[in-house]
Amino acid sequence: MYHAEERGGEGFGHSAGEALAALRSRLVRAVERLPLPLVAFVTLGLVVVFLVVIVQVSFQVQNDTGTVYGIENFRQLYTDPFTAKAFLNTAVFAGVALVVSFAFAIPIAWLAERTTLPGRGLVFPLLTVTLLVPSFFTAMGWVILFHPRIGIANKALVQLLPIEHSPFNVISLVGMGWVEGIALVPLAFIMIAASFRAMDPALEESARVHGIAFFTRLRRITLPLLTPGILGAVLYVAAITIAAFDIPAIIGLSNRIHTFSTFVYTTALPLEEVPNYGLIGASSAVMLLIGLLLTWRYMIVIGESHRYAVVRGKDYRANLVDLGGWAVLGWAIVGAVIVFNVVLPLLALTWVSLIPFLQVPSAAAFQTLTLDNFRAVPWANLTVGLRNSVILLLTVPTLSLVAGMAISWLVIRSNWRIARTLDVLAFLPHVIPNLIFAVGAFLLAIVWFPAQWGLFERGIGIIILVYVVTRISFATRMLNSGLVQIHEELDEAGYVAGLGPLGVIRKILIPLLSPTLLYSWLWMALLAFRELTMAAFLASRDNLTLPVIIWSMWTAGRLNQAAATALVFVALMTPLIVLYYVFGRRHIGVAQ
Amino acid sequence: MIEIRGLGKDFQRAGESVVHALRTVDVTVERGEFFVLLGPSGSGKTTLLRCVAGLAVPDRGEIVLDGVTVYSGDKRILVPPERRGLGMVFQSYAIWPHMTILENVALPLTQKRPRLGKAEIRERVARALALVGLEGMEGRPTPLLSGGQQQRVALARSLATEPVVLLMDEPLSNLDARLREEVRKEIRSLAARLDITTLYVTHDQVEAMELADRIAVMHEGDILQQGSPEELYCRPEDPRVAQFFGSTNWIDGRMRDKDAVETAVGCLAVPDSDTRAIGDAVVVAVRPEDVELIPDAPGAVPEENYFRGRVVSNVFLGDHRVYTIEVGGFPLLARTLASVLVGGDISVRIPRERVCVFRAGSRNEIPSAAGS
Ligand SMILES: Nc1ncnc2c1ncn2[C@@H]1O[C@H](COP(=O)(O)OP(=O)(O)OP(=O)(O)O)[C@@H](O)[C@H]1O
Ligand SMILES: [Mg+2]
Repeated sequence: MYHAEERGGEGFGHSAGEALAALRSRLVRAVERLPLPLVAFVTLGLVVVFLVVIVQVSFQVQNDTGTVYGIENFRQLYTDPFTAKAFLNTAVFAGVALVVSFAFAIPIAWLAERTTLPGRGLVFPLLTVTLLVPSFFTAMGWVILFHPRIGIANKALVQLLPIEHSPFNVISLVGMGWVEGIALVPLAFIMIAASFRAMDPALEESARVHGIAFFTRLRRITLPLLTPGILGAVLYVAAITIAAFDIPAIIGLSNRIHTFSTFVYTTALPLEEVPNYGLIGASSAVMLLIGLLLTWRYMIVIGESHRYAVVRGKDYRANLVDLGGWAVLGWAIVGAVIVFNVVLPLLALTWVSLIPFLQVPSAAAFQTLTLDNFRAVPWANLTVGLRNSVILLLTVPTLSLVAGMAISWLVIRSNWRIARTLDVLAFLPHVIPNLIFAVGAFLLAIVWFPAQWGLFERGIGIIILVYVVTRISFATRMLNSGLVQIHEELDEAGYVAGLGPLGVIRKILIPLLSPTLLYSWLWMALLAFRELTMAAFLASRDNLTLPVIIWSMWTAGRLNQAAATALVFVALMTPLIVLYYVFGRRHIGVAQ
Repeated sequence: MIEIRGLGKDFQRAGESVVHALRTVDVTVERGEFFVLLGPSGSGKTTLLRCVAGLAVPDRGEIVLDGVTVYSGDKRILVPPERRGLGMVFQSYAIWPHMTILENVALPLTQKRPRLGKAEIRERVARALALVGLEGMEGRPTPLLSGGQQQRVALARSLATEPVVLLMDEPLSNLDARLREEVRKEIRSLAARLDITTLYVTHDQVEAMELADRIAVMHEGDILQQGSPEELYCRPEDPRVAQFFGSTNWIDGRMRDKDAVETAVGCLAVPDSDTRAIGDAVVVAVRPEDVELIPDAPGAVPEENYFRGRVVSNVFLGDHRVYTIEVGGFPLLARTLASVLVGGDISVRIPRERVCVFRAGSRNEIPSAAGS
């Protein structure tokens, strides 16, 4: 941005000392101004590299002479019945999940934002905390309860009711879709509640004044106004579901019901043959294309507001609908989401962790209660997992905020031409599934770098990188909206006072942004702690995280032990969630 | 002290046409001078000030501060704001809300090289606060300060480093009218006392007149005229400058002689001019306070620029009145303390030396919102 500094009356008597001093001051200036673009470019460079490597590998074909480029992988993808089935499964799974999540989320958002539901202020924090409960935890609970053969709820129902077969089967596409949908209700709710909040109540009020009845109002005014918000949320949740890994991995993988994500996983880490990287690349490229299309639609739908995560509405809420006795039904709906996501799985896992094998609670079963499962937990392994998870918890949010600060500062505060491009790049991980970035990193480590470097075995570093890249959109959304609220003259007064850009950030912007920073840090720390998908894709001997350890116990069939470990995990997470709840309550409208 | 030569800056927003915020600006501010940039909204005052501060980067030209070239388009020199050693008071005051008064005022001092000692900084802060009448308020948190106090903190912060140049962008616009007048006086006396070179931006001509040693009137990125308040008021070189300093009677006419103009009011004697030819279309500006009302006295000797008319209306404005006098069908505004009868006949006299003549058509360029 800046060129050079020079004294006036130049030309005469430039001694060597002066020249040296000038050179030094130039160097100092360069050093002061380099870090921000550097950090921004490295981070966003990674976003691009992860995506480019996928496209590159998707066109790589192995033959006798080595690696050549061609469309063989896509042809195989297209003709292979197994892949076709996986993609079809994904469509059904995602469809069910979308219907379920929005069938709950839209009414709950309406209840929380537009009615007199008693205690409706609690809905938001309760569901946000629910969102933090790992979906692998929820999925494990549902399998234990509603497995068609061994599910204890199913067995209990067969005993109690005059039926012969298990009434529910969670080991199916619809079952998986249901659990996924339930797990995504909080996220869909948060996004829709934000659009409710951003809507001007005067628009509804004027309809009311003009004598338009409640349902007509809902149909003709409220819903059409909400459509962009809901559509944006649908696109966002759709992108998550089509690449969702946790739930298909817990429920479908061992029962050979494959969706896209588990298909890629088994192709990447097959038990017998050599992995077919080209096929992974091709299927991921297809997903990437879908993700980019969704991103593009999403940006059109939500317009400029994609630059800011927080949609702050007017503070007054007129026009609240009086629910009367129906409030009970309202809380029943909200309660169902919490019960399905947290309470039922928690009860199921607690029970299973205390008994030696799966059985319906009964007097006889209570006789067998034991702590053996907890004793059998491989604590040594777990300690390593805990160490890795804690490393992630500390580094990922910190690095994401450092990178996010550099990018947001360039986007909001510099009038650099390419700032706009930086913003779009930083936004990509918002809608492109995390899984894609994990695949990108996986392929990068294996295909771009010599195998003997063992980049892939090299521990936790690669996981940190991928996590940071996928969090960059959240971090920049939060910081963008924080920065635009800080009057730019506060920065400028800093420059005039003699601070450089880094000084202004350190002394003025960071202190002023500290609530946003703290809140975002906690949120990203929690997400990093509970993340399974990316850690599973990039797992190697030395970098196992707690969720991956739990998941591998589960897939190995050690259900009771997995349940016990999952409980330990949730217990570890609880203090953090409480902390988050305390600090986060004041913040609203987090979308991710 | 501040030399600005051929400075230009354009803004280009995506999908919009180019805005020439500064065209070719030349300004020289002498040491210790209080220089005011005056102009209507959007005329480029803030842009010019920000270029001097280094907060905006010009496209061409040169800026020299105290002998140091801080910007030169040709030589590709650009000193960043933190190296220019200026003081600046922002329109919003820009008091850092997370710091106390002490910390606000001390921050610029901590950036000085060679470093100042703690005691020295404290002492300088105290001195700066005393200067603006806030002594002993060091420990106060800033968010609860009143507008006037914030204004003073901002001033103290900008003066603490004893800069040679002080920049202010409409520092009084967020204060109420009474406080504004009070702080205006303080700023004037402070600047005189410290002998600091000040560049001050405002769109209020009363403020400019009261504060300035010299004023530059800006319009659409150009400087129309610069000079002392008196020069600008009495000898405007551009109708837009005349317009800016209060209301004016604009009378169309045609040069009849090199010192006379034929107008609707009558034949008006004007100051001698060589730049206009006989027959040229012109427009004449006469300030209402320069229109003398002379009660009709029979047998009065007709003097130069002596016309007869009729009083058609009267507006009472407290300390003066504004009458509309119809002279030859032209509604002439006259400002006076005297009271005359509406509807009656009256004579008016316009002193020749108070009449300004401009090229015809130049008045069309006057923005309707200008002036106050
Ligand atoms: N960052 C910018 N981007 C685009 N145009 C700008 C920018 N800053 C100023 N301008 C334009 O430049 C012109 C001059 O603006 P400037 O702020 O200097 O005016 P001003 O004289 O300070 O006006 P005011 O009295 O309203 O503060 C205006 O037309 C303005 O719209
Ligand atoms: Mg301005």
